[in-house]
Amino acid sequence: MFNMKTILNTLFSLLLCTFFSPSSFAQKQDKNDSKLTTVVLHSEISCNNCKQRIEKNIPFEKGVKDLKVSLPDKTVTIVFRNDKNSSEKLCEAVSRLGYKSMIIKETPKKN
Amino acid sequence: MYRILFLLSLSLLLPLCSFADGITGRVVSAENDEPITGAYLIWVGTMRGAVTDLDGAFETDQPADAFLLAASCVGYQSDTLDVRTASPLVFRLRPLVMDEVTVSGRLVGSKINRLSALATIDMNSAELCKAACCNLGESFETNASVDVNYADAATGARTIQMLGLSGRYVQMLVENVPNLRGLAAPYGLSYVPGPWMDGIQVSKGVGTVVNGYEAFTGQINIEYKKPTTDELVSANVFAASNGRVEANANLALRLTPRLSTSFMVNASDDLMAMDENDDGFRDEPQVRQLNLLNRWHYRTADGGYNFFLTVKSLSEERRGGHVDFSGSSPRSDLFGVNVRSQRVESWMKNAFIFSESTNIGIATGYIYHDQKSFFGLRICDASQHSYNVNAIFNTHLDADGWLHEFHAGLSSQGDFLDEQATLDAALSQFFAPSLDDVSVGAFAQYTLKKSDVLTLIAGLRADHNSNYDFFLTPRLHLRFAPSERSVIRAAVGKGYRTAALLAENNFLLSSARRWEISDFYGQESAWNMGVNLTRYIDIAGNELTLNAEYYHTAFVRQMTTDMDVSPRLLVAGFSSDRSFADNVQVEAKYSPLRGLELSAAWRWNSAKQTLGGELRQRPLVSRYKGLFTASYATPLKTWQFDANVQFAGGGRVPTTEGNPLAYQRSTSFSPYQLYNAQVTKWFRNWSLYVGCENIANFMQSNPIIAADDPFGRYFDASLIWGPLMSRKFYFGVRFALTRDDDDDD
Repeated sequence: MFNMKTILNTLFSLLLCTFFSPSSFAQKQDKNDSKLTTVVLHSEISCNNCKQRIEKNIPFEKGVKDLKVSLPDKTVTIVFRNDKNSSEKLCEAVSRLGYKSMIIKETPKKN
Repeated sequence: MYRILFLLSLSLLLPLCSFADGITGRVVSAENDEPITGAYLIWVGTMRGAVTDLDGAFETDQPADAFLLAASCVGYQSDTLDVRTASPLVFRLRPLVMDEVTVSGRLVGSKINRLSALATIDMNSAELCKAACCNLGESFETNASVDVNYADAATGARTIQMLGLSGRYVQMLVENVPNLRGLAAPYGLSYVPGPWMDGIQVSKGVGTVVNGYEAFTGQINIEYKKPTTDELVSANVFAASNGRVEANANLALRLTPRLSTSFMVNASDDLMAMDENDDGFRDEPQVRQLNLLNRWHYRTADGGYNFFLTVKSLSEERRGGHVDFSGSSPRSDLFGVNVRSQRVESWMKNAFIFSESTNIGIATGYIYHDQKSFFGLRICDASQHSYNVNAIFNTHLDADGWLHEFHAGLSSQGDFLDEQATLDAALSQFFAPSLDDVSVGAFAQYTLKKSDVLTLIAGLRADHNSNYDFFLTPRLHLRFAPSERSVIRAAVGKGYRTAALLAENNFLLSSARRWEISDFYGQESAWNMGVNLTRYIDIAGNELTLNAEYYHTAFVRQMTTDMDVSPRLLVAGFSSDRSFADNVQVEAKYSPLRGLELSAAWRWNSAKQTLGGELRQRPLVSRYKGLFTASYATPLKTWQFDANVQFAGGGRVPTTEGNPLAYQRSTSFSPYQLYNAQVTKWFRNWSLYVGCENIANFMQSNPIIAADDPFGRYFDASLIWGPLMSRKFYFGVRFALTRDDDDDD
């Protein structure tokens, strides 16, 4: 006879399996890396709090694939899919968080 | 693959303004032609531009249809040039004449441990997210220095151990005000909800005299989330396969630029009575808890005065014992355990900042705790009032690169405890002790600092206690960095505390042992000394941190609870016989890849005390502890994977010789391991986590002696050395809405 504990353990195991399934978390490998653009923003960031706020929000903008925030250089480097987003929109997204930004470098990425 | 390419391309990009085919130019001061570093250039009508380097030079790609380039810099008038006509492209900016420059900045909140003279580990909210961390007791899973153990098999009391000794020798502070004392000692770790904590600071060895004369083996300070936090609203729910559910909500409001308040509510319950080992007893008690908190923060416009007020209340009921037992009064047919606590805490802090170097801080705290409990037919009720006042004057002066800092102050601590315990129906074991314990003291501390190389902290306090007269507490801390990559720390000092035998060992009532108590209250004291070496080594561009330490604690007088005389007797009191603990720990931390953090730690404990005239290993303490942790976060930190394995060495179990054979246990326990893992998925405003504790499902077998005869003379649920709860799956959701206004003003 199944007791409550067995049922709950099974449910949680299933939940864990779903969570771990490759399709749910593996970042899909982009077949076409030429769609990737790297943009470097100069942003008015001065403290660790600014860095954390950018790291918490920008990954959830469309098409963002990688992000690095450098406090000493005051730069935010974003790799994104240029068919899904643009440097200007990402620059606006960082500015909207309260850190005035401008694009200082943009490189379409080549393989 | 593209991530590796990204990293490579990023390293090439680092000289940010070196564009291949861009427009180049310079920005200089019109006054003297000196280059202006960090001036902004922006193409008018676009978001594109550049920043000048140390020589005032810049290079920028020209967007289509953009010809006007504007240069600006703080302290200068902006200027715009048409790149079609200006050649060479040199901006000459004229200085602005200003009456006053207002500098606004933000304080960096996190302390750098590397520079602390005390061996301190900062656990921030990110660290607390690596495991379920429903409360303080569950927050040390990834910490190698603090062990959390079950105290008994009936109440679910969890106790911490540091340096191989009971957590009662660790001073528990909430925002640097003493807390979790006396009645809160057995269950206090569950009184602090995980989602309320902003961070925990764990320092090993004696603390400084500023926070009092307690802290023999360490100090744990808990910081709650401040009303000024960026999180406007946060909430979380949690559920586990053992039937535990929890809900939490925090609200932080900035009412005016100077006044903020926050409200927190946390409720939890265990919905199922679990009995995995089929001994008829709940493996863990079902704990129902409601926690409420309100806090206020006010500061004046110039920041010269800061005020904090916090009020917290707790209502908790622990229902343990036989799985069929329910109700809130003892029964003679079924063994039940019930511990009900009502607790109100309040603390207030005032800081007067006279200048950059001089300030006065006054902190006060008050706690009322009422506890009603029974363990089978044993009844124990108690109430406690505690207060704490601490006033500190702090000033420092800088002379020839040497910093001299002085702390001086007055403090008072009072504990008023009334207890009643009926251990048998015939009332031959009826105790009603009470304690009025008031200490008043003065302290002074001098800190000498030479840049980041040397820090020496010497402190002394003199206290008068209403029961134990005058006593002196000397403490000395030293930090020396012979090179940028090596740090040596040493500390020595004495500690005292007033111990309340019954209140602090309330969980030992979950046995049929007869209590022989010589004193209910007494003063414990001990010397603690330690040395700690840290070395930072660069390996493949990443830093490896190595740490080795040794601590020795020698008791002058201590509380003893001797369970070795007979399995049916507990001899408790205070003793000046020889008792000490030695502790060696080595630890390594390394991040071999971006996002991957590994750590390994191993600690050997040797804790001995004189029991029955013989120097013996402390019972129920593992001879060694090991911890391996691995944490990986994807580059965008949208996924996080955490796993750890804890190794616990064997140890000694008090004798059960003399019991019938079925009720005897081995006099030692074997080493065991515990495996835990968690996955977290982060979204912009919320996160989801799923995890499993005790993956290998290791449990102490037959933890309760005579579970089939709980009202008999052999019953004992207090000989606990290992986990009591089976494999547990859990999941939780956290939600946080960050406020839009970013000004701290």
